[in-house]
Amino acid sequence: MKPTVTVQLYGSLTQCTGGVASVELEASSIRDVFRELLTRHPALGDDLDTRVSVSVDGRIYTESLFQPVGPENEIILLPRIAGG
Amino acid sequence: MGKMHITTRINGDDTEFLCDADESLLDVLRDRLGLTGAKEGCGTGDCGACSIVVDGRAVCSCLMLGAEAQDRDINTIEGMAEGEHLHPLQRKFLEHAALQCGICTPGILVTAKNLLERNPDPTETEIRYWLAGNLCRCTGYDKIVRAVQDAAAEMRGA
Amino acid sequence: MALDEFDSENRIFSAVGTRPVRPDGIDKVTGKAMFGADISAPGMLHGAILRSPHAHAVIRSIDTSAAEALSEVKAVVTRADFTSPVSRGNIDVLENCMAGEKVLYDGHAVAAVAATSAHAAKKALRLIRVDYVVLPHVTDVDAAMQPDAPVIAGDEIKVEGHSANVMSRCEFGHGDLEAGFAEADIVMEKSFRTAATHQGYIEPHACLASLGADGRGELWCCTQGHFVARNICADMLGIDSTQLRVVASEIGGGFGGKTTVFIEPVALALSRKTNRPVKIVMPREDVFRATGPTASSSMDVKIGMKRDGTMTAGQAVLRMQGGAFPGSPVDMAAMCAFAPYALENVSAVGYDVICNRPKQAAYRAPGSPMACFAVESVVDMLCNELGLDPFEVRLKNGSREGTRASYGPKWPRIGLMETLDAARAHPMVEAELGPNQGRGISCGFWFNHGGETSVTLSLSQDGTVALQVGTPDIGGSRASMSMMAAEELGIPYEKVRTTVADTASLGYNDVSHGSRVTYASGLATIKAARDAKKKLCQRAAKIWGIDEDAVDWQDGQAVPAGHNAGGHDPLPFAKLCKTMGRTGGPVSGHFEATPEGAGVSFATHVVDAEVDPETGATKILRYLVVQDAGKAIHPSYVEGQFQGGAAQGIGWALNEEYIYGEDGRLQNAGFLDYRIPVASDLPMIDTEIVEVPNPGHPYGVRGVGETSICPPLAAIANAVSNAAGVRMTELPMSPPRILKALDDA
Repeated sequence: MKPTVTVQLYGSLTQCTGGVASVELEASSIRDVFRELLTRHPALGDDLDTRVSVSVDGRIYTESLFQPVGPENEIILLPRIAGG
Repeated sequence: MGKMHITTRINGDDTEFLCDADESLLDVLRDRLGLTGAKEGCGTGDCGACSIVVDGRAVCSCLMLGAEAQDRDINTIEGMAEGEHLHPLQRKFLEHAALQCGICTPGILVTAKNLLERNPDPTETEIRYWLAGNLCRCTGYDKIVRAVQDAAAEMRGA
Repeated sequence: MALDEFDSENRIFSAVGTRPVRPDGIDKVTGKAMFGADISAPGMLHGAILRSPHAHAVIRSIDTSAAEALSEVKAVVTRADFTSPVSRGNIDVLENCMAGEKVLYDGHAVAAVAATSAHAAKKALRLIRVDYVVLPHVTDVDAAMQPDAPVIAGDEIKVEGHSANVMSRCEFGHGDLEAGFAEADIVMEKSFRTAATHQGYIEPHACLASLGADGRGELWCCTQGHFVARNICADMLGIDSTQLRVVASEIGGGFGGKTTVFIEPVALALSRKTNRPVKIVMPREDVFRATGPTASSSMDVKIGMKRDGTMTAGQAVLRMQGGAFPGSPVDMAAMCAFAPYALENVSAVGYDVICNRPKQAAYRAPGSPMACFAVESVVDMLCNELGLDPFEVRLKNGSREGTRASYGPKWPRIGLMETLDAARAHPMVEAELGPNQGRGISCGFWFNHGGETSVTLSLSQDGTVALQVGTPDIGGSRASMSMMAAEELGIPYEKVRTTVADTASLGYNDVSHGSRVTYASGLATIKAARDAKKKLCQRAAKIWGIDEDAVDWQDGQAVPAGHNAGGHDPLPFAKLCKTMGRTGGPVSGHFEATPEGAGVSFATHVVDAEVDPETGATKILRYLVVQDAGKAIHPSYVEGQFQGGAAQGIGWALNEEYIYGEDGRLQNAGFLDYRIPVASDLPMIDTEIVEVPNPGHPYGVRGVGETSICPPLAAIANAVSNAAGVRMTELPMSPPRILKALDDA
């Protein structure tokens, strides 16, 4: 049984979730978070693969699917950070 | 139309080349003579990356025809160092980190050397106006101006 | 201490923090360095690209027969010569490199030729007949959002209440705006506009391509990311990515603009069709017309403040056009807008808009400078209105560790307060201002990026090191990489040679962007050096016949870990290198990963400006950049990034702008009319490096390349507004705009 974490969605993503900006789901890694979100909101589709970064306690993860997450973490989905 | 036969002197070497009548000196230097130190940033004389010295005057080689090189004395960045010894400007540019990407550097060095030959002790303002035709997008010119000042001081023996 | 533990706080550095000469230095001051256009190949053809004279038109037909009839012309390509990309993200990139059914902006590529000379190629372009049906166009962001605006790509409405050109809406924030504004003693609201500006790198895009019918090829190009260029090109040409070897030339400036491809796939397609190498060098005019400028913007900002300077609420609505394709940096702008402020009630909404302009490309901290301009201008207006010190107000409300960022997360360790303190203590702030002079300050913020990273550090028998990185060196990074390797191995800087490896010689690397190189490739270099040290310790253990755990690495040599390990003489790095062939074979250190500990960077800029009320011209008198670098590896190049960002910001604030005519054509596609700052426009630019270490990097590095362009627009606008006595809300603040503002006041 994986722990329940709270995931907040910022930016354009809420357009794919019918306006839902905060989701409780069972996850122990960023990959779990993505899988659960996709099940509930299929419209997130490719966005999760290519257009999202995940902030875990303020540190931004862009690629790391296996980064552990838990109930104690503040997890926020952000637009993918790129730069010049 | 046939090509023109030009005889000139580049960095002290007698040089001959054939070029089209409408071919720029920059294209001749880069494409016919393999002297790619002068760069084409704009082709319209606005950026100074192609700066060379012709008969003692700094010019944009993109605005001069290859044919106009006949009987001239031309100096390019390739002729600036003497053997293994860098010119003081070249050395000071490295010491002051006065270049980032380095694309404008040959043109700026050639132009700055021309300044110091005319005015061995330029003020900051004189340096800035002399180099105003040489665009640099990386450095904000601060370290370039300091490097020129420092090289000038060294060359004066100060 | 574990080998990869962060240890910046107490570490005494030897190489890091010094200012050695860069390894590519001599090549760059003697003209030997090879940039994009500096290479040629036997049998080479010259490519040239035909571009649309219309802002928006349907391509009915393209007749290339007259061009092909020229004996010098060896091939012509159009969109039909490319493969539909597999990656969704590359579809727009291909459409931008070579138009399909429609041209979407003035300068959009429609066909290309390869000929025996550049002159012949240009001549051939004039013989290509394109039959266009011209469509209505729109180039202004606000106009493009209107419900009756010409539609550029499909008439499906994506965001209710706006035209089909509005591609998406994003929103960030928290708290209760209404309650926040109700708490305020004063609420200030203002609208702002910024023009599109170009990265303005002095080196035009250039490449030399060679591709065979078997799908194997070579590409030499000036790029911020040759691995990415490889993958995009392969996708567009329908070849395997690893069959294309890409070599990154020296790069003459990028600033984000060379993170994608424009001419490279075209040169490859021409080469495949002719079986000869093809070189394309972009004319400057094409660089302006067809490579990415940044977005133009239209923004509304509203901030509430109490009389004591406490900010109670902040709201921003940002509209940005990113050219004819979705992807303006408005989401980044919305995230950065209020980043320097710890606000309980905050909202930033962004609209991504398309119009008939070239596809925007990243430009140094994409989106952040514009949003910063709008927010920091309103903060300055509030300070003026309430008679408050602008430093005090920022110190009072500024973001710090533990406060919530306006884009969501709580801040980890950040250095904004330290930059404000250092700026306020700087002698420049004491300088007296004369008539028509004003001072402006602004804070600014940008993220950092990690990204896929791979390096190899190979040891040689003479005790020297060859370090291969995959991130093109855009501002001296080979020096800082060598320094970090030297630091970690305990050997002299001169003993390390860093090269940017081609795509066949190293694992995948993300682009040099997002201020990531010193952070990510630096971290990778340190970890690869630690990997090599571990291997050397194993060799020493074998030589001494002791357990490998009983060997330590200290000051460039292997030493027994303690008394129990036995009394062995230390084995220096060079000695271990010399015998490595006989102690187990060659030694290399590796690192392949996606580091995820990038630290954000804040800055504070102070500028003094003088405005001539007769001419409207602005003179920058003094300029100060204070920025958190985490740890400055090579301080000279950190200062250089600070100064370069400030200078670009000065250009953006005062002069630079894309000017479109009624006909939708770009009117100033050259450095004469698109005026970037020249030496005589600028003063010396003072810098101060603040070091608040980033715990996500072994030495504490934060990327510094981009944050430096965030505060200048606002700082200069505040200085100019205070000097002129009238609030400037539109960039650039060119002399005509300043005169008009003075007249209107």
